[in-house]
Amino acid sequence: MLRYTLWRLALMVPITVLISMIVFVIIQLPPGDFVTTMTARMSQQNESVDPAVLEALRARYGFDQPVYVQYWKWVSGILLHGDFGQSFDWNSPVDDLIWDRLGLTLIVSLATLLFIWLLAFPIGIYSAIRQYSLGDYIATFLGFIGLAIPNFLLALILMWLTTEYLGWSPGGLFSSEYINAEWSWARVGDLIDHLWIPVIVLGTGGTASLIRIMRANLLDELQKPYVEMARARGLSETRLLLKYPVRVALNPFVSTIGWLLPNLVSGAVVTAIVLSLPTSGPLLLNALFAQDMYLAGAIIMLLSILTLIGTLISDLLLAWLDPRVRYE
Amino acid sequence: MQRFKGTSAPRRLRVAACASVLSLATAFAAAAGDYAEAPMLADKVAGGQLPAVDERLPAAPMVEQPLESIGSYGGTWRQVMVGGGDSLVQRSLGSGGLVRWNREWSEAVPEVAKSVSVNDDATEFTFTLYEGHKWSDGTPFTSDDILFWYNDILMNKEITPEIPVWLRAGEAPLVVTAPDPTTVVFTFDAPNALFLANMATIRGTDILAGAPQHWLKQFHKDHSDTAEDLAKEAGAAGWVDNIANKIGYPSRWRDADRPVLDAWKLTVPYVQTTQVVAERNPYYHKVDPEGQQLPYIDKVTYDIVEDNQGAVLKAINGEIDFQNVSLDAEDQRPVLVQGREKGGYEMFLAQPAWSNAMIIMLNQTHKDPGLREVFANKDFRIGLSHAIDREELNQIIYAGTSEAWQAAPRADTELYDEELAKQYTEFDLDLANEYLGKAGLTERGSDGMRLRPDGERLTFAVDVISSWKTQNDALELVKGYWNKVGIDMQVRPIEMSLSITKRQKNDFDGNVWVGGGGYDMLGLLDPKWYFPYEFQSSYASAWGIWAQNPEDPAAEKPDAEAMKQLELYNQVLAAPSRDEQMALMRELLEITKDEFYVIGTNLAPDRYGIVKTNLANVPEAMPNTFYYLTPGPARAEQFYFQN
Amino acid sequence: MSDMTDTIDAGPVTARKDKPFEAAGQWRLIWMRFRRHRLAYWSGVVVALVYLVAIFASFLAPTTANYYSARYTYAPPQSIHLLGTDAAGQRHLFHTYDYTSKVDPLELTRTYTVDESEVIPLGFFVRGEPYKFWGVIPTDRHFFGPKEPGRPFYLFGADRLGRDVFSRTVIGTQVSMSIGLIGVALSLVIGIVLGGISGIAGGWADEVIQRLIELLKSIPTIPLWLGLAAAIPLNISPLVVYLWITIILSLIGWTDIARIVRGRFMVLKTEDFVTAARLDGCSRQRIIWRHMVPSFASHLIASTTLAIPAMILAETALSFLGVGLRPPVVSWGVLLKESQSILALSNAPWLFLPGIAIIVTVLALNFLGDGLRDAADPYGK
Repeated sequence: MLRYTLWRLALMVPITVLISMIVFVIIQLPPGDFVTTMTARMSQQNESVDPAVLEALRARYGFDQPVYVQYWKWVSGILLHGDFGQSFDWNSPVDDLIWDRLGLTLIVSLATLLFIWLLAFPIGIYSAIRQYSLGDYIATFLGFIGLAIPNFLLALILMWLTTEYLGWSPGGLFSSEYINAEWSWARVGDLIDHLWIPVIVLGTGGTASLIRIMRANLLDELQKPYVEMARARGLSETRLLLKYPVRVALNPFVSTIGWLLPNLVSGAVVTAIVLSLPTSGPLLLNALFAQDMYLAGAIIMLLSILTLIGTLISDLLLAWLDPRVRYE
Repeated sequence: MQRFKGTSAPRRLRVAACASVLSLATAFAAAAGDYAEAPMLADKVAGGQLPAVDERLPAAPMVEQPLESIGSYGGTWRQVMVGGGDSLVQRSLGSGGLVRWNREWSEAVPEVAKSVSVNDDATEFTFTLYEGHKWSDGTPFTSDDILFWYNDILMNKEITPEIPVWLRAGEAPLVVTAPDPTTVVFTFDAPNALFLANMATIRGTDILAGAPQHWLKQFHKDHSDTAEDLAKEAGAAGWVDNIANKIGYPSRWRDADRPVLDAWKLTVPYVQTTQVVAERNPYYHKVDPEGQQLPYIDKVTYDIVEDNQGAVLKAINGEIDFQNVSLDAEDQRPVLVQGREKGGYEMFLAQPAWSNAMIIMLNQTHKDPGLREVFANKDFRIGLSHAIDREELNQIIYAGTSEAWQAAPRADTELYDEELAKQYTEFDLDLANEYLGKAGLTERGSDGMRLRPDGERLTFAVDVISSWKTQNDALELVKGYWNKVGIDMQVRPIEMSLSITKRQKNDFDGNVWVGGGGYDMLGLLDPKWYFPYEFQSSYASAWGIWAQNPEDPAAEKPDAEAMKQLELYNQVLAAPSRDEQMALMRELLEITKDEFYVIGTNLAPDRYGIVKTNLANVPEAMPNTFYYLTPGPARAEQFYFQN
Repeated sequence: MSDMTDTIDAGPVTARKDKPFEAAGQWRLIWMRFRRHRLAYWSGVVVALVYLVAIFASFLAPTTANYYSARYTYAPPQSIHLLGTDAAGQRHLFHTYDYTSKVDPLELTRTYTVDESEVIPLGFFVRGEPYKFWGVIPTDRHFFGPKEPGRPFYLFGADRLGRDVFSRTVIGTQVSMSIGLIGVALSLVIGIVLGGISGIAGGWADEVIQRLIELLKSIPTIPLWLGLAAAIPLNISPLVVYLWITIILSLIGWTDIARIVRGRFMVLKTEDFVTAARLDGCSRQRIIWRHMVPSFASHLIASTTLAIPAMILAETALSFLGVGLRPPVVSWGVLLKESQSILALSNAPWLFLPGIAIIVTVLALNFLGDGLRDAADPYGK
């Protein structure tokens, strides 16, 4: 087990390097650079643009250097100084911009995860033991409808309904008075008040796959001889269910955290835009569109590493639960 | 002398001379103790955190005549910003330079400066400053500050590699001198007649941003040994980068430390937040006629949403007090009008300052000689223009609120020329076919599409910015119209930055934009739709590139007519009197009319912003453009909330 | 390592290899089990119908996708009435009524009132807007629509340009459904090849492919899409853009399938019947294609079915972000993006009807896939 863990950890290094390269290439793919974006903004205001000024800006940002030089500058900054570079668009170090937003992203994602589990677990069990019943159909239908509605649509509709009929302030994760406030219990409470729309939007999209897994695993377990055995011994149906099959079926369920989290983070981009959430998604999207390359690069890198760690944890959990994996 | 009065509808705006002596009536001669201040400041004064109001104001402060009534203190002006672009902060907080536009947008009037005088040939501009004027941190604002900008920012080759075009006139660079602490003189080598007009745009506000020497010196290597360290701390590449960020637009709005002379000062900048906040500047230099220090409103906030729909929802939920930016799209209007009662607001006219909702430009300096020949043929463009059903466009896209128009000044402006505005706008397919035939496109291919004179099938793509919904729709319709006369045009939605790159390289068939002069001031300051003035003059990008930099690899010397226009525009820049400017501009437009560079579609329809019913002193109408810094010149410092 | 999304175990596959009709028996069993799963069965019918609509879209649509009318911007849906008499006194089985409209000068919206005096007769196989069926056969016959060409018939209402939302939804089916199908087919090919190599060869090839998958999966999809979509050369026709988008979507989609394939091979390698075959002296090729692949083909089909709705949704997300397909191409994503506004919610909710089409289709495909997956395990209870 230790060897396996070490091996996986060691593998993460080259993968991270590869990811950083891919990320850098992705950011460089669209034509132009941040100076083009600035020009575009001026142009959109119908302002005149002086090419001499643009050239000077390009030189100042180092865009006139070859890509590998820029890449090395970026990577060496991170590795040697822990410095993610400067966001051109925000005129401040990337470090100052991302951590709060990543934190809120994690909060939204974890809250959503909790919501998904709370919803998917009972539905999954129910539809496994009452397979093909009307209840199974209704439960799975409810679980799946969220998957079928595009997130941005559901988000807009929920936001509109709550504003139009309940008079709630649309979007965001905080009320006006708490946006710039220090953390306090009142602010946490305010956050929880605002959390449920994004959680519902994101959560309904994720329950379906978990219901599916739970149901399938449980169905597998229920066919096994030990269940028949236990039933034959007169164990009550509930106890019988919870004692072993559910527990066994739960194992892979728990390991879903590894891929569910990154999926949530990625899926949250679209939702966060509609709901104007102060998470990493809109920041990333704006950075990508504005070609603010160090900011975009840093966010993608961090999200990727988060995913790597998630996958690692779920693989390790699985290896720990199922020794066969280790000796593959 | 210019007195502020209630604004008239913008279409009645007229251009006035810039080259005359301007000064503001400071009729209110106050004695000490006559000034009143906002309760939130009075508390601070009582607590000893601030000096008394008399000490904060200039010796004889500027008296702002409110639009309708004397106001009372308090309240928050709430606005919404969408996504990354943040021109709104600049527009609403930072529209005041040494001079600022008057409400009617006819001339630049003193704002931070007490008065301005110009010599007869428009080479020397003398600004007088207020005695005792202070920055928002209480440091005196004097002519030394402007000198710092001149010597250490503008003349520093590292920070300003190239002196901006609007500050160039003649051979020698401009000279700025400060004979005494309240006098600044700008001297040009040759007449620079549009200098004051430029000073009233964002270009002029850049000067004040680079002026607070007491704050900026620490970041400047010539004045501080720790400049590099401070740059490193800020994450900037070097001290030049750092100081350029502190004073440049838009980066300067990401910094709450910068001392300002504006009515409000940022307290929470647009970094790492979803609500930008600005609070009143206790040292603001204006009072109302009763001696109350302005602004009336305590605080300005900008909620950041990521999507236009969020802005609409905020508006109808009553969370926006006054705003037109991000709320004036065609598809937002019905919802906003319907939501008036619920949101407690009314609409105000924010008329686009450009004249055309969509101009179609075909690149007459195209790299491909075949297409160039076709596009450069005036008959071809006339034919295409006649093929457009502008009335149908008007009904479908603009709900019948517009009319057929070319890229020409709006009616009721001085430069307005009916023929220029209306020529070739008649929808007539026979005429269109006739002109296309005259252009030599008589042959048709097997699919009914016309062939070029060189026998190839004529096909070209017109770029449109993919996020511009209206123009995408309109261009799709135009594609259909042109198809009917055998012209194969493809609509190509592209990103803004790609569009810029393609035009800078003169590498595109055609594109569409909003534009076409509109107001007189805009036509003077931004003539790119009238003649090849810069690379964004997409009907002849290579010529425009030449006008900016003849050395550019994509540059090409313009033809004789365009050269004549360039020459005329240089004369406009040098013409000291407004009548001469207008006469020259008219002469220039005659050539524009004759050349017919651009195919216009419809007059940009009126757009509306929203204003809370209890917000007073707000004009009923204003022009909307970044050049006017809408809504800045409406003078938000004298807005107030009625109870 | 095994695949987390693929946790339905095939169950004990008992050795039946000696029976000559093994393959047929398996498929028949699957079909029997599938029939029992009613929801899946009817979902299958719905999916078949949607694909049928996609195939005959331009014929089924009353008009073309981009036919517009200035008089009917944001017209609400018209209802179909039975047995009416038109102005000429002729009786018609189906008809609808025209609208009269009034423009509000400030709101700039049209208010429509049904004008019962203007009967618009409807019929089957009517003449209308000309189009090219399957892009080749020029015709102007439409399955259903107004008998007189040019009369308004808005079953799902009209959009901002007075285009028929119903026709657009129907025609959007083509792109949306085929993007799923082609994308999945691409994923399937890449997934089977790489997953197969990984599962059969094992060793370093397995390690490399596994890391590649891990690499691709750890980069958040949205930025990956954005970057790749931004790299699509724009000087190409919308059809090519469409192919590019498909390729981009399947670039990520194949990883799941590869994992499933690999996992199956891994499990099967140690199964008795494979060992038996090997001992019988079957060639490696034969073992793979005759014994191993058939035993999980059904499973693969199920996974594939489940991948299609994911692609359809991904296409809508890309369109929403403004980097996917763009007008004038009509897809469900494009239609939803156009309706994504407060204006549509409060004034023209019928613009969301394409959304209903998406929901129904995605649900149906999911239930179908689940049903297939359940059924693919023929030896369960």
